[in-house]
Amino acid sequence: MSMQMRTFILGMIGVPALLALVFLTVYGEQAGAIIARILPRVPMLLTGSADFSSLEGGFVANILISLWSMAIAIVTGAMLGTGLIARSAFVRLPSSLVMNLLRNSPWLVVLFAMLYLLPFEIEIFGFTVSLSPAVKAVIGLALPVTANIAEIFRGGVQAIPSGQWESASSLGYRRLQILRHVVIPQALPLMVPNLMTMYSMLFIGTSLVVVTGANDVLSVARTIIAVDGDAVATAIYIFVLLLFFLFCFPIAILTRRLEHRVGTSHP
Amino acid sequence: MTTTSTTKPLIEMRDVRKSFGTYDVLNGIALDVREGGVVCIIGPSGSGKSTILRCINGLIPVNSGTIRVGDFAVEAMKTDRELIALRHQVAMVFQQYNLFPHRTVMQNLTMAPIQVLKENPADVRERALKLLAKVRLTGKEDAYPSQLSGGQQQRVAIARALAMQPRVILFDEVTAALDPEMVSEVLNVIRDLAGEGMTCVLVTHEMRFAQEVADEVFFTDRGVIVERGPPKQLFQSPNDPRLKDFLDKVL
Amino acid sequence: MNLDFSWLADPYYQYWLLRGLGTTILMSVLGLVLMMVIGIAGALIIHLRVPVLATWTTLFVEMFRNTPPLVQLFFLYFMLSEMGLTLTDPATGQRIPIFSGFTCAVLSLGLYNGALAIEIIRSGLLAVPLQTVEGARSLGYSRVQTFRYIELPIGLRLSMPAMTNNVVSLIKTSNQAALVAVADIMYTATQIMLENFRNLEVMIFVWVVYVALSSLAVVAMRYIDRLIRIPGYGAVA
Repeated sequence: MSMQMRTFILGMIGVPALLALVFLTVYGEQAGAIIARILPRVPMLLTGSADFSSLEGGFVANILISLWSMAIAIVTGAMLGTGLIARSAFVRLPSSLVMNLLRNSPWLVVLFAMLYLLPFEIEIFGFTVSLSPAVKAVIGLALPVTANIAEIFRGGVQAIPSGQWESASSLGYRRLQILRHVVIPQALPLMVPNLMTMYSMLFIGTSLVVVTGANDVLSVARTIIAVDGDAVATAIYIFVLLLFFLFCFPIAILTRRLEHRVGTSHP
Repeated sequence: MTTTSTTKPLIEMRDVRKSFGTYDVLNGIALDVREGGVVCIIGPSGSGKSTILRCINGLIPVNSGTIRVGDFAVEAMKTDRELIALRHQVAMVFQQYNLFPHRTVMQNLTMAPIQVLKENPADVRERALKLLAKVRLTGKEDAYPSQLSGGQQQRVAIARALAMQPRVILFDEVTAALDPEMVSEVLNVIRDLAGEGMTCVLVTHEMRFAQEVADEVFFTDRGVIVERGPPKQLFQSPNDPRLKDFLDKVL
Repeated sequence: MNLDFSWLADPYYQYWLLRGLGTTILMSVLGLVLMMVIGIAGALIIHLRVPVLATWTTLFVEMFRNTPPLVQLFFLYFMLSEMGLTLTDPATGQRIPIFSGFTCAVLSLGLYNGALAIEIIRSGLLAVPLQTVEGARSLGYSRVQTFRYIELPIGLRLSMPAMTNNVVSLIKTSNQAALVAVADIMYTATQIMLENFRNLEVMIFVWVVYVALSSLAVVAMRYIDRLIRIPGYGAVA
C-alpha cells in the first residue's frame, strides 16, 4: 500500500531527523564533542561488550529477552485462551479471573515481584539451574503478555460466525475438533496482527527489565552515564530512543499492512 | 400422495416445549415424518420453525417433550458421543450455507466423512465426485467457497450434507438468502432428492415449491402446530383463521 | 507460607503509603488531562490535514508510540536539566532542576499516552459514518465546525473502549516515575521493603493497589460511557 510506504519512509527519515534536531538543540556547539565521547560506547550499548565480542548484553539482550518471552507467552496464552472459551464455568471463571488479574497488573510490579520471588537458583532433577536476571526478566514479562495473548485468542475465536460452529456440529464434529479443523484455521489470520502488536508492546516493555539487573541496553546506558558523567545522558538516551524506534516502527508498519489485508480479504 | 402407513414414523415429536429465558419459543410441538416423506413447515417469523429443526438434530436441547428419530431418543441425549451418532443420520443445510471458507469444495465435502466417520479417503472422494455431479457442479472441486455464487455454495452445502449419507435432511430456509435467479437451481436439487426417496424436512417460504413437492405441510404460529395436512388441502381450504391470514399475506 | 502484613498497621508506614498513593493519583489525573488535550489537538491537526503541522504531529505520534515510555521519561528528565533549566538553591548552593521528577513524569505520561490517544481518537473519528459528515457539510458546516459539533462528539464516544484501555495503561505506566525518585506509591513501597525486608508482602500490597486503581478507573470510564451514550449507537469494537 502506497499510503503505508509513505508513512514508512516519512517515519524512518523524519523521526531520526527529529531526534537529531533535538540533539543539536540541547547540546548546541558541544554536539560534536559529545558525539566523539559516546561513539566508542555504541558497541557496548548494542551488545553489552565493548568490541562486539559477546552478543549477550545491551540491545541484543532486549531482543533475545523479548523473543523468549513471546515464545513462552504464546504457548501459555493459548492454553489460558482455551480455558477462556471453555463451556464449563468451572474452567472458564478461574481462567477469566487469572486473565484479568494479570492484565491489570503493572509490568514493573510483576518484574519486581519476579526479582524478589524467584530464587537465585532452582533444582530440577538434580541439576542446579541458576536463574539469571535475564531469565527472571523473561518470566516476568511473559506473565502479563500471557493474559493479553489469551484475550487475543478468545477474541479471534469469537469473531468466527456461529454458523460455522453450527454446521460443523451438525456434521458430527466434537467441540475440540471444531476448534482444530474449522475455527482456529480461520481465526489465526485475524489474530496475527494483534499478536504482532503485542510483540511490539512486549519489546517496548523490555525497557523495564533494568530493574531486574539484566544487562540490557538501559542498564548499560546507566553504567555509561555513571562513568562518563551526566552531560552525555541526554545523548545516550536519544540514541536508545533511536534504537527502539528503528526496531519497533517497521514492525508497526508491517502490522498495519497485515491488518489492512486481513480486513479486506474476508468476505 | 399420502399413504396410510402402519410402520412407525421416522421422526416423531410429542409435546415439545422450549424457552429461552422468559421467551417461550415452542409450546407443545407435535410432529411426525414417515420415512421417505417430504414435510414442509411454514409460518410467520418467530413462530419457532427454525428452532424445531434445531431440536431434531440436537443443536438445541428441549425443556420437555419427546423427540424420536429412528431409534434415538433425542430429548434424553446429553453427551457429545450420543449426539454425534444422531448426526450421522440427520443432516442439516442452513440458510447461510455455512461452508468452511478456508477449504476447497472437495475438502468441504470430504472433511467430515474422513475426520468424523473415519471412512476411507479414496471412497469418500469418489462419493464426493458423484455428489458434485448430482448437484451439477462437476469441475468445481478445487474452487473455494468465496469463488462460487450463492446458489452454487448452497448446492455444495447440500452435497456436503449428502456426503454423510444421512437418513434425514433438514433444510432451514435454504433459499431465503439467495438472489431470485438462483433459487430454482437449489429447489431443483431438492426436488430430485425428494423424488429419490430421501426423507426431507423443510422450513421454507417457497409456497409453490411446498405445494409441488411436499407430502404434508405443517403451519406453525407462536410455538404450536396450528394446522397440518396435504398441501392441496392446506393451501386451498385452510381451516384456521391464522393460517388464512398468513396465506393471504404471502400468496 | 506465612505472610506477615502486620507492617501495614504501622502509622508511620501508613502515612508514607497514603502520601505515595496521593502522589500516584495526582500524577495520573494531571497526566490524563494532558493526555486528552494532546489527544484531541493532535487528532484535530491530523484529521483536518493541517499543512506542515500534520506531518510534525504524525512524526511525534510515531516516535512516542514506538519507543519505551521509560526511556522517554529518562530522556525528558536529563534533557530538561541539561538545558540548564535549573535554579541554584541559595541554602545549599546545589543546582535543582526546575522540572522535578514529578513534572517530568506528568509530562512524559501526557506525551506518551497522549500520542496513543491521538491514534485512538483518530480511529474514532474515521469511524463516524461518512453520510453523517456529508450531511453536515451539505448544511453548510465548515470543516472545523463539522469537526467540533459532529465528528468529535461522535468519534469520542466510539473510541471509548480503546480509550478505557489507554487510561488504565496510563495508571500502570505512572509507576515508572519511581525510577526517577518520584515519591509515588511504587517508590514508597520499595523504600519500605528496604526497611522491613518483607518483599513478597509489600509487592502483593502494591499489586493489589494498582489492580484496585485500574478497576476503579474502568468503572469510572464505564460510568462516563453510559452518561454520554447515544441510544441506538453501538461502540466500535
